[in-house]
Amino acid sequence: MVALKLKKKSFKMRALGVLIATIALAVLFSIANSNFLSPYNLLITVRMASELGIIAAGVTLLMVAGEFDLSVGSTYALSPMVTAILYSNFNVPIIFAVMVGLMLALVLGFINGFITTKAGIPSFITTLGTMLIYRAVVLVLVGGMPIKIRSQALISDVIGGTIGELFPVAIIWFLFFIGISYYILEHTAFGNKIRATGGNKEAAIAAGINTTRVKIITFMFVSFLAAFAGLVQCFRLGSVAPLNGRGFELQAIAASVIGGTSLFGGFGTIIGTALGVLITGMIKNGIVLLGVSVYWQNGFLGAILIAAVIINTFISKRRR
Amino acid sequence: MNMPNKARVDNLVYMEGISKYFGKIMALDDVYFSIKPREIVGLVGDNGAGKSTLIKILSGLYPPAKGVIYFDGKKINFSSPKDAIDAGIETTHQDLALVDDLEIHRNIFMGREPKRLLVGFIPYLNKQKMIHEAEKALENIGIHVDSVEDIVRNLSGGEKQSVSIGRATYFKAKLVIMDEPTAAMSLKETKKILELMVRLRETGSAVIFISHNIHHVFSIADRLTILSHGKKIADLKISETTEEEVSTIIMNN
Repeated sequence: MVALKLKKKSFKMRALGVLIATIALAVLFSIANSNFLSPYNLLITVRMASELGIIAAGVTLLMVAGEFDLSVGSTYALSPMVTAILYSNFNVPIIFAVMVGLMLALVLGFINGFITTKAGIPSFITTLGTMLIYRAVVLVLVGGMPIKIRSQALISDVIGGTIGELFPVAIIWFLFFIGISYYILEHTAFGNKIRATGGNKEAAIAAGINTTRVKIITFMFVSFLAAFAGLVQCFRLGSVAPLNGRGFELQAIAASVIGGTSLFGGFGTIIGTALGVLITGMIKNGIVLLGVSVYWQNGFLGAILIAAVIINTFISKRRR
Repeated sequence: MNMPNKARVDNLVYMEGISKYFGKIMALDDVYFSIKPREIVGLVGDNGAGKSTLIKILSGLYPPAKGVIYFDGKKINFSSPKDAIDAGIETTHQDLALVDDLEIHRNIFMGREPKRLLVGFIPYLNKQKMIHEAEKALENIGIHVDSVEDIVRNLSGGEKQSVSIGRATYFKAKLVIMDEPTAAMSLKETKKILELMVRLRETGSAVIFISHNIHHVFSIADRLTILSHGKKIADLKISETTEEEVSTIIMNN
């Protein structure tokens, strides 16, 4: 009895650990630079994390389902690029251009899922391939040049504008998609099927779950989020560059893993991922405030990633 | 020609001339298997006899290479376990039972999660129902766990089997297939599971009981089918045979 209670506790410790790490990092940075906790700087930090956070929410669902998507960074560029080309070069109304971009993302996600499940190859390979292919398509489409998208339409403000002078809508979208992903994973039948599929595919199939369908839908969801995050950036900056989003695929996985998501499928929490995203945002911002060379940014993130996985492995070993 | 048709209708399950290969290895060779409504049939035989392969075909996991299956008088063609479950066949598999990282109640309802609507249109997992019904399902088979909200990884082998059996028996299936349900269980737990199978028969289910333990099979089954090297070698009524005879048949093949 006592042993069982303890085991349950350590199960929750995994999520608690990330929260403590987030707070510790915030305290550390605020001691080093008192501006860190100023409302404006916090806003900047969260805003910088938002686009990655939208993607990471989807990436977590996919990892819980037992798959990876390395093509999210390319989709992040390709979908808004198509939107921008349709709008700027072909005078397609902005609302349709946006819809085409998002629908394209669903197709890209379907391709990832279809190849992975039907050919039975690791999604790591499928999406490494499509990452290169989707990126090549972006570069070919625009010949390597950025495309401007200057729209006064309401939709551009809704997706990538600001509320008042300062508050970026991106933060609201980040919270919205975190909420949606949390709802899916914790409170829907589909979420249970995702967890079963990633936790033990054979058992899930024997229980009557169509794991192929579960995976393909989740791949499509991730692509949709990647495209949406790309649109947020595109409307915020008023242009799309063909190399946008490079490295996002690994940063999203890193944020998810820092948040406690298992690399082997079956386990992960959206709350953990949201905190993992905040940690990556704080590192990017904190490094600048500390006056450390920005070249250290990813190095610092890497060190935290390794530490997080060591701690999580230690906790789950004790769990057994 | 009248006889086979009668067999198709009279039986709950009638498997006709089932063959299955894995590469060049013949796992099942022209096997006939039947079970009537409200019957407990023991499926016995040595390791590698083809027992698990036969029930995996019946539960929709494998398609047969040859042969026809009748269920409830109708010819069926399961393309996935979902088809078998929808038809009313529940299975506890020996090797692929549960998801370790999922809580007990989520395991029991995996694939058929109960839903409710939030503010009239948002589908929402009915966790209260899952937890409550999972507790009932385990209570029903007489197994006590600390909390159904604990993940399966933390359970003992016998407890895991109980959860798996709880799932198979909760949904009031026409046919419950149990592949070595008591392998990891204590004597006390085993007794409860044997009693459970008798109760299933009383409430209208048929049960296929796969076991290495001839004594367990004899204590509850109506009939037993013996497989050896992928072939059916005997089909005996329990009332017309003895444990010694069955052991001799299995060992001499």
